[in-house]
Amino acid sequence: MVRRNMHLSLISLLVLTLILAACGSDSTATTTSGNTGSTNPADVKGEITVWAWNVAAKSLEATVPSFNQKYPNVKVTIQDLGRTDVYDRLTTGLQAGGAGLPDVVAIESDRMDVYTATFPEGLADLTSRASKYEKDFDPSKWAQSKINDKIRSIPWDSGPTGLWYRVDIFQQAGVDPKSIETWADLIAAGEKILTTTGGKTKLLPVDIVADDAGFRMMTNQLGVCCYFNSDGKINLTNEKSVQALTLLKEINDKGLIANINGWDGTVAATKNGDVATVPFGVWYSGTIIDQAPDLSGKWDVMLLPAFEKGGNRAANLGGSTLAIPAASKNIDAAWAFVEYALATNEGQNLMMEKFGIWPSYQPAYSADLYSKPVAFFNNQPIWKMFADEIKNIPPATYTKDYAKGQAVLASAQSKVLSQGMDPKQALQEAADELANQTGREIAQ
Amino acid sequence: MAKTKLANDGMPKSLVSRFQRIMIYIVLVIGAFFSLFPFYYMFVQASQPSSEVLRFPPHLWFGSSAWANIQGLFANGFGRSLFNSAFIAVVYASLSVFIASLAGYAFAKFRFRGRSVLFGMFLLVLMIPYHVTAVPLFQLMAKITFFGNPTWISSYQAVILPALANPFGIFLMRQSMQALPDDLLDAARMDGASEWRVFTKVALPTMRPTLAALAIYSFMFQWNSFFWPLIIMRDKAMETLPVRINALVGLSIIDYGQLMMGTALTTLPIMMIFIAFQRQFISGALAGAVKG
Repeated sequence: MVRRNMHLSLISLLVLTLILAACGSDSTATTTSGNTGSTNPADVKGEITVWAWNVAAKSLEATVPSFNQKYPNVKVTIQDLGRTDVYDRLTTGLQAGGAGLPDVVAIESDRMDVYTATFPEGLADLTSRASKYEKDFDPSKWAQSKINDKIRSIPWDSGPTGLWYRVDIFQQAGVDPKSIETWADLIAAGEKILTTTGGKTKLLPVDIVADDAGFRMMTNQLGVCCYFNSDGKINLTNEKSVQALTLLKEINDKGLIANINGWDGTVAATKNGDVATVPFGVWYSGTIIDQAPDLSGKWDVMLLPAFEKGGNRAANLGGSTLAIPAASKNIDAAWAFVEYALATNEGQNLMMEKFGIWPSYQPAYSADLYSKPVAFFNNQPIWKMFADEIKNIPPATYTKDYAKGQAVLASAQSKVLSQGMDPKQALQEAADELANQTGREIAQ
Repeated sequence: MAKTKLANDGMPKSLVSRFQRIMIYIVLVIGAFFSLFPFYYMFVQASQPSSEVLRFPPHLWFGSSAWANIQGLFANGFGRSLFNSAFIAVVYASLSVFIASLAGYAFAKFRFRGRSVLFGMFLLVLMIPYHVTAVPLFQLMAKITFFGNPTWISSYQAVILPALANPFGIFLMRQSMQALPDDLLDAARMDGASEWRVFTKVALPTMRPTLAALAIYSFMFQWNSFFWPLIIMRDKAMETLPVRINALVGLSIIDYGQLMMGTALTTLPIMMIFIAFQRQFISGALAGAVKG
């Protein structure tokens, strides 16, 4: 007993030391805060730090010089981070009550619900400053930034989807891309391509065990993305979700899916002619230009095929937002930067022109560059297609359980494509599993 | 099967052993190929531009972009990260080996109240996954003030200090110190040596292989460490190599050439250290394994 008491006192001594060390510290808490409500840009002062992933960070960097012409007294430091690294730092910082956070942080749109659910006041409420821009932004993105009627981030880039395709391979197989309107048309084209290339070139890449991106694009097209409905119920057993997974199974049964491994696998398949098409967001243009420079002129893009003639061909995949952590000591300066970069034609088009970051801010599409042909992509005015697509994208629901849904769906997809399970049964099982994990009801 | 058949045919013994030796060499060469090829391939890929890394069939010979990749890395803070990593790893390895040898010596050679409980607590720490401690530790670092620093976020001590009393190191040193005969230490004490002298002049010199092994282990631990430096080093100028390299992985664009070059340059010092200290490394690992 005496021994144990000794140890207890030793531990409490240790704990006490730590608490004492922590106490004499709050000197950082109050430094200069920006002046509120000022209308003169020169009055907005201070230093702000911005976190974003690498190319996106470079694109923000490109807007700093012109931003500083307008706001000469704000010093912007941009830090580039790995994709998931941003989240590791953001999460720990928010858990620690906002310590060590930047003034502006990039968050992918589909992760917004996760952060706002876990840290309801962690990101600054931008409603009063931002609501005037509501009509200007891609509505499907704005919906993802607006949580419980409060705007917690500003949409940065959108991911209108397209079917990227190899012009030369289509030509070889005698397929006219303009004739493709439905997924059935595309499957027929895929079969032709597979025969003419002697089995080398399949139709499209899917990471069967790990990524359900194809399923998400298709369900978004059909208006039932992603896993949940707007009441927060699990929305997988509906007819349309079954239709989407059945379509994937059909493509796979005809031997048209290249089963690839992760992001690098997709890029390699794109580069090496293993696939004739890649259904992805507009952001994939940058990847193709960067990774397959020798295929210049051989790639083009069309809208995703519809499920039936005349059906919806618009969908969204990916895209991100900029948020301001509530702990920022200079929200005014941070907002000035976010507003300039994301809610002006000038800011957004600088990023679009140099880095292919597709604006969620629709007025930007009036610039010349959106109607010009793009030499790399078969000399077609591909940006115009995406600009016109934006307004037709059906809204999607993500919720904080989105990541769980992704994992469950990838496993369902794998059961269907690798083991031949019936899509309806696989989705029923996935819905049950998701209900189990999240405690949500299954929509009838 | 072939071997027994040869022996049954009455082949001279030396021939059989030569045959065995050839087989051994063949196996060794295959083994060496499989262990060395990934390194070779890493250096080959590090010399390619980003758009050539995922090409199929892959390049097997060096490309011309090595210098461009190095320049790209250094233009983006790689040099500073290299210094940070080296500084942290060297300081950490020296201090943590020193502390571990002191603690290991005390646990092995002094009898005091609560020794086994205290030692048990250390081993317990070994079993806590670091993810559990990351957030409280981060909060602590955010609030601590010391020598006028307003916070320890993005400071060297934030990476070096928390893991300094490394349970594994203390365990390893204790196990080795236990093998040290008490008589040897007593003899020194009889000759009038202070406890400090007994420790530094008698105990430590016999521990050289274990010290070297622990130093290498500690160095590598910090050199490779990713999660904690990522969390705590929030200022770009304070980032370590693994964190900086990971920043090359973006949403839809990855510079594979720079990524490979960064990895190659990070691996190189470790390879050189390993080659230089190979003997200590292996003997130390064996000592730990056998005496544990």
